[in-house]
Amino acid sequence: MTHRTVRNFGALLVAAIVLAACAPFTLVTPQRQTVGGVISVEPGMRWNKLEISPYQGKVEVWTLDGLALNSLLFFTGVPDGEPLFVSRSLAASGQQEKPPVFRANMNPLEIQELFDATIARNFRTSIIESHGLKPVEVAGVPGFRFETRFVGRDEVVRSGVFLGTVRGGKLYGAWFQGARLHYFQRYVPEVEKMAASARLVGEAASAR
Amino acid sequence: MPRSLRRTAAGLRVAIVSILVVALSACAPAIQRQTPQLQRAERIPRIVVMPIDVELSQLTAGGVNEPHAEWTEAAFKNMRAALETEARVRKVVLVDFNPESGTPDDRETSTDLVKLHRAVGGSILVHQYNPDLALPSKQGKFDWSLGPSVQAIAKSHDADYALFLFVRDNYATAGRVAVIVVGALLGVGVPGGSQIGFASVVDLKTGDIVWFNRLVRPTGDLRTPEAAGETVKALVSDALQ
Amino acid sequence: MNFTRRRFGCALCATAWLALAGQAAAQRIAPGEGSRYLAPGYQPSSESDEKGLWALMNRYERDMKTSRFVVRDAGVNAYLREILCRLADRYCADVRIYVVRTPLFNASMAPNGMMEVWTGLLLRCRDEAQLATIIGHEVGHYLRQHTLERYRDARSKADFGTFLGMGLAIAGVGWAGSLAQLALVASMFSFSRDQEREADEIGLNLMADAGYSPAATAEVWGQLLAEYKGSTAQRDQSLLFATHPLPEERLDTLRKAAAARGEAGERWRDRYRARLAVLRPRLVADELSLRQYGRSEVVFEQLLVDAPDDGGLWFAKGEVFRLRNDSGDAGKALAAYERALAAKGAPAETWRSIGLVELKSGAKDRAEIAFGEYLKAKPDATDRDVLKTLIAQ
Repeated sequence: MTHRTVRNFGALLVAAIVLAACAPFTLVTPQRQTVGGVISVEPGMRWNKLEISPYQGKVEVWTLDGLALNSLLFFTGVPDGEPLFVSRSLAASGQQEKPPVFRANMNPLEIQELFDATIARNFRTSIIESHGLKPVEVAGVPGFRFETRFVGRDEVVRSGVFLGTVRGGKLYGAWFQGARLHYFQRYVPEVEKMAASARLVGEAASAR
Repeated sequence: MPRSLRRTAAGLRVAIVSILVVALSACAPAIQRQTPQLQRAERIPRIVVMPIDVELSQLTAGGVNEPHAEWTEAAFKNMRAALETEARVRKVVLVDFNPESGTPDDRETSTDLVKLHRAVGGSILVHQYNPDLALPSKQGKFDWSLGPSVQAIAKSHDADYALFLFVRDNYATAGRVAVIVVGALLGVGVPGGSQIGFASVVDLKTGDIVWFNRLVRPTGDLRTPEAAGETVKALVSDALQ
Repeated sequence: MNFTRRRFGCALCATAWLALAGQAAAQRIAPGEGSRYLAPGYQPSSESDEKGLWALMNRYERDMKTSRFVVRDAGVNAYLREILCRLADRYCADVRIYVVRTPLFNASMAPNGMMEVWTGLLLRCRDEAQLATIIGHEVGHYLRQHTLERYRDARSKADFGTFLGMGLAIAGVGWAGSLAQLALVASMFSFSRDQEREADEIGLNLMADAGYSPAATAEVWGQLLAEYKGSTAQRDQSLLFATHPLPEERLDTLRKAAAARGEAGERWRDRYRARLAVLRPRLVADELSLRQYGRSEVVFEQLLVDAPDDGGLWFAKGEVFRLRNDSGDAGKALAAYERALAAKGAPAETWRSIGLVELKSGAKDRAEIAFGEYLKAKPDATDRDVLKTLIAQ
């Protein structure tokens, strides 16, 4: 028997402790700055950046209250043939088949599908529903947006919003998610403001 | 599964436990609070005792935690009884959390809040008690909350506060002790057992965690009523002021 | 009351023994031999280690009751209870079945009577007899208190290394929670080969006595083996195989025992499909989300053998190809979708997927037609605007 436990607390601690090389969190001050050399944003409040990312891939991770409660993942140019991200603990455990990957010719609907499969795999849940896909301007260029909702193995329901755009065959964007109770809603205004402030820079800006 | 990988996983577990033990003994104060004491102006505080989340396990020679059913049950009973004693002394009223009470929406919210609290409590343990893992944006402030939806519990139980207790504790088997001793002889530190635990008090108007206490060994051996009583007292009496 | 209980227990042990001896048809044996089996309505006596174990399981079950991963559909739950009660009528009240939404093949039984059946198993069973095999097998573990046996056995050992065995393989898969929890649970609950054989026997006799075709018992394992052969993963992990090791020898024993029971019986395939129809789209979507294309292809192909006219299954097969998107897959996907539309009950999403594939190969006109058909079939589709945008680009 495998007791499908709700106590993922242990795993959370493990993840956090494994990060503790030294001071894995650095302060992000509320001023304009560039993420991954490609996305320029202006946060309106202090955030925490994870120097040692728990995810492999072209992602940078910020959080306000800790990864169990909320997180902001920046996608800084996911290239064709790569997964959106792979959690390090999953990679270490020797997972089964290869993860699903981003393809430069994917349309937003397919990227949303890819996102759902990525969450399902990395957070080991089949309760993942993205919805409300619509075209919007992202970082000053045509992009798309959808809302996310998933339940992790700790039984916490998490709401989220994903913004993305494909330029020069790479995916740029961000996904903010937080516990549906309190930890998502509380910061939505900040996230929306930051999204409005976002611009593509560097190689992302010159790409088409 | 290949032996080497099995050992690595077990070894990782040992490493994690040892880091955890070191991490949790950092010098942050054990008790964190937002408000000095419970509000007594309007009435004697009614406190909902949320389902005590305790699990005692046996740490085997191989470094695996095996949950110990009788110890856990004993700890559960002992802690609940000790809480009653403390409540009488401190003049607060304890009400057991009833998952069936309230509207269906209340019930679902309450269940979700219990799960959220596990995540919040864990985050507090990780980020508030170890300078290395601190969240710089908080600047040392203790401002954790479950959010205003706690009012569902306030309503369904007619209560002012909620008390959460969470304990994971393991005790080394004889085999494990042997490993420790041998390790010591070889100059290798092998952790004996470890204890993770916290108690928190939540204001049911705002959802704010107004009091939080981290459990510190060696005060806690929850397998006996006396020791459980001492542990609960140490954990909680300060909260029930 | 006592007499009937012992008699029931006896009937089981009689048929089990006879099956082993290769004889056909059960004989009722005189009462007195059934005491090895848990009595109906059993509760552990006060202050035993067993009582502590039950208490622990009861607390896990409380969490289970509020878990979002449990399927609460009344019809589905009633159906599984019916099968349980048909198999083990006297133990109906002692066992609670929880259908857990995890797209892997697994079922388990806790010592306090809490049974878990994962939705991946419901997808893969091809008829009611196969599901009855599994439920009966788990009831066997319960009746013989195998978990308690393992628990006591494990606790008497100083070092659990040998018990971890497959356990940490489960931990690696990670579908059931944190590393530590899995390892410990697996170390407690992985059964010995004797216990598996015993549960097989009991399960076989329960389902055969209830009128199911004994041939179903070995089949479901054979299907699983075929599926893993279809996997492209280097080291596949099946939770069920980890907790229920399946050497050739066990499959062999099962086949012989089933043959010995001999009599034909019911499959109830149509009833199985009908009673679980409400779940089917969810089961398919969850399976696809794993993105384990090789295995999923085998699963859907197996199911299509039984139901070649099932549009939903052809759609599922098409989705495997569309999502894998290797060279040649676009054509395979379209072919499968075409079969789906020609069959019965293809979901409206079939048209949408056709549109997506056509769009990818640059056939915008055909894509537009397909999306149009989708929106006709599903006027309340929330992605109407998105699809219009895709065409417009």
